[in-house]
Amino acid sequence: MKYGGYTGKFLTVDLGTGAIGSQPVSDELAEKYVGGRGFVAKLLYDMLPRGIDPLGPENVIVFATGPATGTMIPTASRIAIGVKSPLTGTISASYMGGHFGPELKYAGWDGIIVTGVSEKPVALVVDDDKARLVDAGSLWGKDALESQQALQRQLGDEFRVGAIGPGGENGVRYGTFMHQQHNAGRGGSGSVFGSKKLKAVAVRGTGGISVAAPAAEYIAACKELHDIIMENPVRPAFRWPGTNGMLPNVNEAIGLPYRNYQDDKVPDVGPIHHEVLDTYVTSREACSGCNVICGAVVEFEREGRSYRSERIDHESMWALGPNCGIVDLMAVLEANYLCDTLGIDTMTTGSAISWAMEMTEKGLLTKDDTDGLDFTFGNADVLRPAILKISAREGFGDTLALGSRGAARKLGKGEEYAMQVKGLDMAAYSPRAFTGMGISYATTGRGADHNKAFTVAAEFLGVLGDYDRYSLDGKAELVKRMQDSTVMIDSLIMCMFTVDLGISVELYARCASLPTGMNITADDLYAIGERVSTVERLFNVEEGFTRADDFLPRRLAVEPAPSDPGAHTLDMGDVLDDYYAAREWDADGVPTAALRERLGV
Amino acid sequence: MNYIEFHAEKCIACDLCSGVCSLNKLGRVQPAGACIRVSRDTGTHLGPMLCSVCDMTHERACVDACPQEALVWDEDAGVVRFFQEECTDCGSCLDACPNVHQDAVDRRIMICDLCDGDPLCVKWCPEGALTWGGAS
Repeated sequence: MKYGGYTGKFLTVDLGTGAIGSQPVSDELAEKYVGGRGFVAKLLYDMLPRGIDPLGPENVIVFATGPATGTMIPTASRIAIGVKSPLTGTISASYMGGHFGPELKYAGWDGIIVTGVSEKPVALVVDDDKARLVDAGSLWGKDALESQQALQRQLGDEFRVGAIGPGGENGVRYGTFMHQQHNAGRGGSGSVFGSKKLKAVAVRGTGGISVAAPAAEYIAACKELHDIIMENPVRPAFRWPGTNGMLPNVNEAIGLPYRNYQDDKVPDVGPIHHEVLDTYVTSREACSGCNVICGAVVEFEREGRSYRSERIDHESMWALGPNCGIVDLMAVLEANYLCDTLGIDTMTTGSAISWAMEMTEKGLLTKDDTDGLDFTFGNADVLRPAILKISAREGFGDTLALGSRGAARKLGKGEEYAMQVKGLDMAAYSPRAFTGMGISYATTGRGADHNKAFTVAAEFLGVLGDYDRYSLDGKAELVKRMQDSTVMIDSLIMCMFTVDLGISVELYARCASLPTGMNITADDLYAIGERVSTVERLFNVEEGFTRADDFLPRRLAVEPAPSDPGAHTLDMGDVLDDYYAAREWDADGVPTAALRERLGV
Repeated sequence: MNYIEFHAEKCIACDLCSGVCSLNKLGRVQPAGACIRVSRDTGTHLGPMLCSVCDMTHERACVDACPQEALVWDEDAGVVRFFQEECTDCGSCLDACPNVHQDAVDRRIMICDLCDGDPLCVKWCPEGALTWGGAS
């Protein structure tokens, strides 16, 4: 490996044979795919046979850091975990912050490739250049936090640890992998761990990572980047309320989905307003290399149970709260903690519950179907028992463990109330109010993801332009451009929030060039984004996904939000044609031969 | 006497201090080899932050423990200096004081020299958890 910022090798672990080895990262892989999401796309595309069962032995788990990870580039703490998703059947990478990614780099690895299935529960312990599989029978069944703490006691404070909870062990379709209280898991990577009997991973890295530039020059360049964030006027909003600051603003804009997307405004967000949440904060917390500091620790009680937890984020608050018609802060905080520690994705869980609530409202489900649980909108008391049943796949929980679409298909009714694309549920920004988010949900490879082109920045926050948020004009091109630039953020890997904190595309190119010594321009960055987006698309096309899968739930086109005096709806109309044209995909959404040749895929 | 003060309640575990320290002293980002180490007590979920850096009280246990002259008290600067050519990697200094660290790659003993009076870790701390203590 001639570039800085890389260790130049992946750790390989075959759980079937117990074989541990290494695989080089070639210069070409680094040049064309950068790291993180790019590595996940290329490796899974090449390694996975088509049509496999995501929870079967052939699936592969790819942990991938990027060249900026752990190198002092601001916010570059994140690690991607890629699998073929058991929730969507698409290629899927999910991300977590904390300290795990940098530690893996310091241990000498750009990533880990896990294949095969273990007979017995195991944990992978990576201690610098040595790795071993250890028995994890005593951890199996424990929640993700207890498991981390048990391993931490065994191995010592210096290790960075992550684990799955019962959700992943039991094959909930949206299980997560949790490190500290950072979760990688939209799309269900944790359930792939469970299917392989891989309970936990611990890493200690006492070595270092070298960068291309001389130290003094590199420190000065990084300080400039940190100062840009530090001095950005938006930073205080992230630093104190965290992402929760979005909630009242998006609600006021009539863009916050309520009661399973039946409306876009919560009558009263007062009880879950960040100013109320702030009163439970007892300390603050950041990921490695970050000066944004959106994290905090909260302590609270509900019905005699005491909790100490990472502060909830905006999306989880929305999914478990307003989208279920709930504004009971203690109930939502408890639900968030339970999802995290039991190892299931908060957003997908919230959406499965909100689907069951609408099914109940419409008379399509009764208490006889739900083990007696009352799935009435606004019933905060149903969150805890529903989450316990989902993670255990017990009774009606086994149905909800399939996600909203899977549950509807299992029961043979109510798919029109599953607010999802490709099986992944939509997020806390209504496409009726932010049309770019609609195109993004419809076209993103892993389903209705809000973070692969966060057009709200351009449609509402005024950060990346000043688009009319209700119009479709220029949105196909905006989504395409943002999806491509986001690939670089997900590949370096930096935090999405930097988009809103003064880090321009030119500066991302700088963040890629500084540690590596490559001379990456903004144009190169877009080309890499196109390449990775195209490989992800090819994976999905070869898995049988077609234009018909790039849809939005019908509700958005025919039911305006009752609270919206403008009665806006979003009918995608011909915009998909514009989007495919911008992407150089044919009318069926298949990347053209000319594009593949230009991108070298 | 100058020293670096740590305010645990303000520390947010960003590791920027140990990152920049290692980059400056070792030429690579290697928090485990930095003169300053922050860590979290993992006994409690999201538990308290701990910091380990020479407190400059200069009991100088490390100097006393060194059987060679690899660690030497620099009276003018008020810091302990390390000379690798004298070091036999015996580990006595590490046993003598928890605020002495070692770079696992090159086996250098890492002990804070206050960056010649302008500590980078203090400059980089985004929350004021590290401050410049003592007389200026």
